[in-house]
Amino acid sequence: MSSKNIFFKVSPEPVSKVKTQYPGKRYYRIIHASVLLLSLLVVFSCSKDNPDRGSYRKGVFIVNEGAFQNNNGSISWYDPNTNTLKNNLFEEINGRPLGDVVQSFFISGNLGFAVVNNSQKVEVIDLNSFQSAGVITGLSYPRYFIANETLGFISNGNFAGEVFVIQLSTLEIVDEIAVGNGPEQMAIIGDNLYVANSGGWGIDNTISVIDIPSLKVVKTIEVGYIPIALQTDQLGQLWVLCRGKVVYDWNTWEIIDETDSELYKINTSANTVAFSSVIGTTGDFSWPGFLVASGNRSTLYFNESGAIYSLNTNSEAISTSPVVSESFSGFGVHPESGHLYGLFIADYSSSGRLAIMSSSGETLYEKMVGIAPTSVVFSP
Amino acid sequence: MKSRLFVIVLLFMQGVVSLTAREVDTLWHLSIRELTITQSREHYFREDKKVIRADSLQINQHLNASLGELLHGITPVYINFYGHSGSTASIFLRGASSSQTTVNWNGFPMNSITLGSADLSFFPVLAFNEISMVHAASGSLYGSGNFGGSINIDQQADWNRKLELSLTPEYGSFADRRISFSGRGGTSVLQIHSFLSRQQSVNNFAYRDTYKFGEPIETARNNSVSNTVFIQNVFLKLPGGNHLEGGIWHQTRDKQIPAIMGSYSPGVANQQDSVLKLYIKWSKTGLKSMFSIRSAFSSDYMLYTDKFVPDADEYSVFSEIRGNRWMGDLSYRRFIGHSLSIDAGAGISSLSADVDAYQDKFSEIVPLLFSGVKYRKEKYILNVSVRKEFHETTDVPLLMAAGIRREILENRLSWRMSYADQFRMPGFNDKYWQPGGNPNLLPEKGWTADTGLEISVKDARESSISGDISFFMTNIDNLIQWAPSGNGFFWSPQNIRQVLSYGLEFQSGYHLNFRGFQIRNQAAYSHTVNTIKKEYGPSTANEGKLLIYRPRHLLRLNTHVEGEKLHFSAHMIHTGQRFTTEDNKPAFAMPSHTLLNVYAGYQFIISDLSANFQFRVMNLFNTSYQFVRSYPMPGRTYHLTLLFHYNKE
Repeated sequence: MSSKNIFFKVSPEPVSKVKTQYPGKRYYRIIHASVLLLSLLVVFSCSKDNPDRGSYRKGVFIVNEGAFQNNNGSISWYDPNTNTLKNNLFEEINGRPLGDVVQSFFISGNLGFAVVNNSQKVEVIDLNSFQSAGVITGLSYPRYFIANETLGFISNGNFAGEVFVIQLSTLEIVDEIAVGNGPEQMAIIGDNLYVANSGGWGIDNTISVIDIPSLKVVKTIEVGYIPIALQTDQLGQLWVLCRGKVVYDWNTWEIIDETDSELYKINTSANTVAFSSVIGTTGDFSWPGFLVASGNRSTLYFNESGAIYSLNTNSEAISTSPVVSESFSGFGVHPESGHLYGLFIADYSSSGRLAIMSSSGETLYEKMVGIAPTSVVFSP
Repeated sequence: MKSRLFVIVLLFMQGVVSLTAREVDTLWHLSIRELTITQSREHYFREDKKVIRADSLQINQHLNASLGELLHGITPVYINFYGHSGSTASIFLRGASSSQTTVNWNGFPMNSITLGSADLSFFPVLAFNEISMVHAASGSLYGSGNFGGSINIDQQADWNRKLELSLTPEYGSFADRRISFSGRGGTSVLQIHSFLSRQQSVNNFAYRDTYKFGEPIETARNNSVSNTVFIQNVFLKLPGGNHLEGGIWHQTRDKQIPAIMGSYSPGVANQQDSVLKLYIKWSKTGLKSMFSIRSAFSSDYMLYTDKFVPDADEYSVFSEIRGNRWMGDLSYRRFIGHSLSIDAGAGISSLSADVDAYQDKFSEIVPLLFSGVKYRKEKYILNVSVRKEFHETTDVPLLMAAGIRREILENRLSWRMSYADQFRMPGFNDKYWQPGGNPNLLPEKGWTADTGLEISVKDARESSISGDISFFMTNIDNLIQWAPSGNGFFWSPQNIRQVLSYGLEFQSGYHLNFRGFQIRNQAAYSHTVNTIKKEYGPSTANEGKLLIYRPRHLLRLNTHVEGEKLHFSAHMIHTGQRFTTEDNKPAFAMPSHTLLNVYAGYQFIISDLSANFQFRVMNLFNTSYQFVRSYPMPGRTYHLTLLFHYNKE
């Protein structure tokens, strides 16, 4: 008879009868052990140090940059199926903050890679538990992470930049490839790694093409000024969002000149410019910040002049009217539902906001997230 | 943690319990100062306020300390330290920010021309005769930026002093070396004060970096500081009731700025400061009047540099800040009968700044008029004062202050109440910093009100007990707040808030002479609530929230036992939880912490010469804590201080 059976017997039977049937010292020990175990379970389930450790493999990750020098960058996790949102997830699970200025987040298999710019690190997170699985250091100004099956790549640098090559099995830096100024987003298409050289704190207008097997830059493609975002379409072509150059009057700090904001399409077979279009003109004093793709990658979305516009990658046509007339700090399109995820920064000392909208822009759900949310990452 | 706190509280319990007994206190110096005809108006009209003065015991326990370290140790006032020894220290007095609290050297403002705030790590304690803190000091007396109050660091002549010399070398953990020399002396008509100090600290303490993977033990890097201060004062008494005094202050500081916790960069930022301050004052005292002219000049220079990577050839930041302030002031006081006096004054100040980030040089001239009336009769003191400043671009309303002090039981119990209009002009950075500076900012304006009871009882054995309880309320409108602007590319200051602060302050102490031992205990507590009452900006989400870095609870318990040669002290300093985000998210709050510092000393006296050896252990329980999020503080530290003192009366 197991201890479980004794417990079941206690309730329906009269106490005296149970006592007479009580089976001896061995069962005392079992009962004591069970009570102790139960107590421990209660204690630890109530403890703040041991929060819910559910799986975070699937869901939506909101990257909250946080305030510079405040170590309050964070990641919020949202499950659209249950409408569950968890803020500050990394600190809740790991007992320490994620770091200072969380720039970006990338998912590769069971691992998440949080690039924490002003902590000069990439925090590697096991998505099954959201526990830290390691940290990549030796970086000066990390921006983005991307990976294939065996290697990871980190764009790094505010002026002359480089891409660090990471062995995923060891999380160690194994190589370093010089690229342009201020490398930002990257894309892997076939054996090529494309790096947007945004200029960082200076100016640049190039895309570096790195041959992954040899880890060499094989071509540098000229595009518009300040390329900051990359997306691949359903045909494997590369789209580049160029924010445009901004020139300030150093006396008044007013903008006295700017170049057009542009979209470029790169033919990834020849690594040449196949198409370009002006999306924001000189004088509008607006600079797009993100380029995101729909689930099937046939539509791209970008922000310009306080609104979201779309691009059909097949026809290369840009929508004439906004998809949503809002100014977001970050944006994403859910690959399955097609819902639009818009982010708002309140200030750099208060929680930001997530708004989930239908594809027509109708708000379906709103929730406060972390400080200064800037990007949305959907699990594959 | 709780058990530690319990032990500490028990340790101090005898002191607190004894407060109910018949003791006296001279420690907090809460008694009314005697009327002096030559007092500056800032001192003359403050008897309706709560004033705390550091006494000689407290000074002796902080010989080579900065003003920030002293106030942190002895008052329930929150000081935000951005790190260990020599790091920037900002005061939050009654919840007001450091730019809303003035520091005055012999009546002249020391706050930064560009920032508006004063870094309390800058001022060496031992240089001054008197250090006092006036809570909610009147805007009509001190001008702009006194919502919290004013801290006064003063040097005064003692015409009976022939020669007093002191030398205080100190060596502390993490190569914290300090030395001060002070010389005061002269004749009955000429007194000279000289002060020289030097601090050099490596600050390479170990701390657990709880922001990093594996929470490793790290050693603080790029954290050293060197600081040299020279102050010279001359006081001259001339025939016919004439007094002349002047002072010069020169200081240089070179401070490395470490990377924050969690960072994998060693940090290479550096800040160099250089200040020169001069003042001269002439006063003529008659039987029923006093006239004074005073003038001061200060020149501040700061260079901040940083690099992207340590071995970079070029600086990523190379920012020079130069600011000059000149001010002149005339003051006349006339006594009418035995009870009434009238003050009238006029002043002018000229500010200028040359800052890289301003892209231009800016200056402004501010004339002012002042008048005040004081009525003193038997048990009453009544103060009324007004001030009008004339700013070139902003209309500052007439500032008024009024207060009363009434003695309820002679020399034992008194009651005080005061009201004061307040304002703060936007700082130069607020107006001219590029990008973001906003020249159209309105001044912050508001009021402070305060009431309190003071008790002081002495018995025949020269033991004493004293206590003070205060209630205060402060309203600040048009609060200047930096907020994201320009499509998020930069921040800009705006007048977007109303803040209401209120609270209670309690302090008590006793002094007992017992079989050759002197026992002194003090307890001080403050409860402060600073609430964002209204937001006029695009968002009102933070209405009702508390301002960041303002702890509700602060507690100080100090005990001191002194024999003929040996003395022992213990200080318990409890700092309550502080929010670090405007929406008061508990996840980002700094938890409360309690520190225990202990002091032991031995002194011997040979004729006019005395030597005091003091050993102190700070943070005895090795508590891990931060004042400012991500800026580590050291664990237990040890300090040995020697004081050689020569005094010829």
